[in-house]
Amino acid sequence: MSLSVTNLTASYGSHLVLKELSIANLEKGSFTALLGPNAAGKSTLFKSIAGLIKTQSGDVVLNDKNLKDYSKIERARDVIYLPQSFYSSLALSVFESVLVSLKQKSGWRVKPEDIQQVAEILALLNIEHLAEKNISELSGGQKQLVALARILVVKPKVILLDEPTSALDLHHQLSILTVIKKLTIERGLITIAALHDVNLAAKFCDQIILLDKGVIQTQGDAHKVLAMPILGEAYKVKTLLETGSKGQLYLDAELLEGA
Amino acid sequence: MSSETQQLSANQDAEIPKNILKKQHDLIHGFVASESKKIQMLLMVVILLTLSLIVDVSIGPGNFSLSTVLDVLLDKTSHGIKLEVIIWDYRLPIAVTAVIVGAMLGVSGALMQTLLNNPLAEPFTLGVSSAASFGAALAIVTGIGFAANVGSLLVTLNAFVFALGTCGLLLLLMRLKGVGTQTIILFGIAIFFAFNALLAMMEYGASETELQRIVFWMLGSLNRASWLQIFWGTGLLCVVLPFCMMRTWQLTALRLGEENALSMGIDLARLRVEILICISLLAATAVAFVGTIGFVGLVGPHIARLLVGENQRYFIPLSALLGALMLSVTSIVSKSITPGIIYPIGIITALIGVPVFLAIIMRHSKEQSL
Repeated sequence: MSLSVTNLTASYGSHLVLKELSIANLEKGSFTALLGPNAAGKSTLFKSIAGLIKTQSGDVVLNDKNLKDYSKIERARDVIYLPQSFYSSLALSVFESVLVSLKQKSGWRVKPEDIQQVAEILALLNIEHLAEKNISELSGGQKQLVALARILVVKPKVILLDEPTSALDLHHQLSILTVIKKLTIERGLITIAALHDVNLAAKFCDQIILLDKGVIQTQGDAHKVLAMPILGEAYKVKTLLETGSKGQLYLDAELLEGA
Repeated sequence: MSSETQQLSANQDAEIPKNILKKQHDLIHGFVASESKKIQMLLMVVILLTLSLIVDVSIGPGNFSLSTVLDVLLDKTSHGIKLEVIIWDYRLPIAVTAVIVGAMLGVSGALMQTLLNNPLAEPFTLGVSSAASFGAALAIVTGIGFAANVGSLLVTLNAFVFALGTCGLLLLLMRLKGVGTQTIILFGIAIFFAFNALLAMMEYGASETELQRIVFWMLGSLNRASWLQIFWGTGLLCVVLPFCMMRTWQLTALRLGEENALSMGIDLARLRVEILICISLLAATAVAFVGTIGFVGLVGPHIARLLVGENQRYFIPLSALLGALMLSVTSIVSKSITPGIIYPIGIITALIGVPVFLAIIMRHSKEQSL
């Protein structure tokens, strides 16, 4: 199973956001980080792949099948986008919020197997103790886990995560990314996550895609991309590649003089 | 559900570790128990509504005992023609209309709040009732309306058309690109003020009798109730309510945010149009039947949200039942304050609704500040 994007162009009104953008094959079980400065077009790229917005041109191909040929509900079953948004006040339990996702694809009545599937995914993510809590009562990290449960319960092939670690402390960032990495491998998913922390991206992801000004600047092995000067150019910073005590590479950055 | 749960338990895969199995069993039982509680809640409100309906029919000028009223309800002719006329031709239509209109307002309020993601949205606050009042006043003062030779029905018809037209405007606005829910709410408030100004202009030029009729219409009254209205109202509810219930999973997904709903494959544009058409029909019919009755569409859904949360499978029917219960109780109160006098129900609902309205605002601002 693989996902590829070819010559994708998307705009909001007259503002061109994605310019004939292409992504080489992403394979099953791969975890890819999508990096890029603010307003680079990361969310637009995700929404275009998931079919949430109309694109002017280009193709998204999953398993040799163009996603244009899918119906909305079919596309959402295979490719699912998790937006950044957090619902602040919502009187809906965690169990119900996961069930809602599942019930978009099956009939109105809640069947025993629906309940079973929700129970399984909550147990898998170790959040079964939150099942009866209202979503609005949860912490940021818990909300993110519930959101993950909501998209995983439909057994998608591709998951697109828009800044899944934003607003989380370091502990929760590490734990969320560990869970995502584990599930990507175990379930054979193609996972792309928009991240801001380049070191976390290099630590957890197999590949990095660098997006800037609506164009893919580079795509490749996470540690190789980390060493490329183009990364600093995209973020308008001076990058310094360091070697950690265990021999791992990490990136330090400074503002450019006069910036 | 319990046999299904047992079946689930029996079908568990033996390879799953015992501790995970136990977690899953607990989750399933917890969910089934919470669903049962919500169903019990619905049944309890149905019982309260039935009681309220009976009390509403038994209260009024002429002190008939509850057993006499029940006798006449079960057998029209059991206590003579006089009681048959009082109960079946006067009191029962009023009591049943209160239930039907209350349900309509409850559902339209709940749907509007879900659609616009705002707990303060309802036909009254978005100008639909103001538009209907202006339509009614136009018919009363000038006789201008959307039909000829319909007599006193012109007022009802005008109110219906103006209310429907306002919902249509909101619908058109919703179809425009880049128009968010906040814009629609602000637009609704603008409609509210615009029609109130037009109504004031109409009142200024009205004669004393016309002014009296306008004021009475605006206060909201169940006295115009008839079996024909009940027939149309019930018919509408029987079509709209199941239609909305079929879309409750999509509506619940909408509560998780527009982008989440879209990512679940929901055709949001279509859903919005369908639901706004339902709201328009319910709100316009309710206001045309009984005049301006505010806050039922606000209070019913607010209490429903507190009792069963925002899973629309329970939220929508409970909003309908609570709207019906609220208007039915209001009908009782309107007859009980001063014996022999029936106060317009619009006054009573406003007296109950305003504190709830303020409570929602306070709660909302508290949540925002957290």
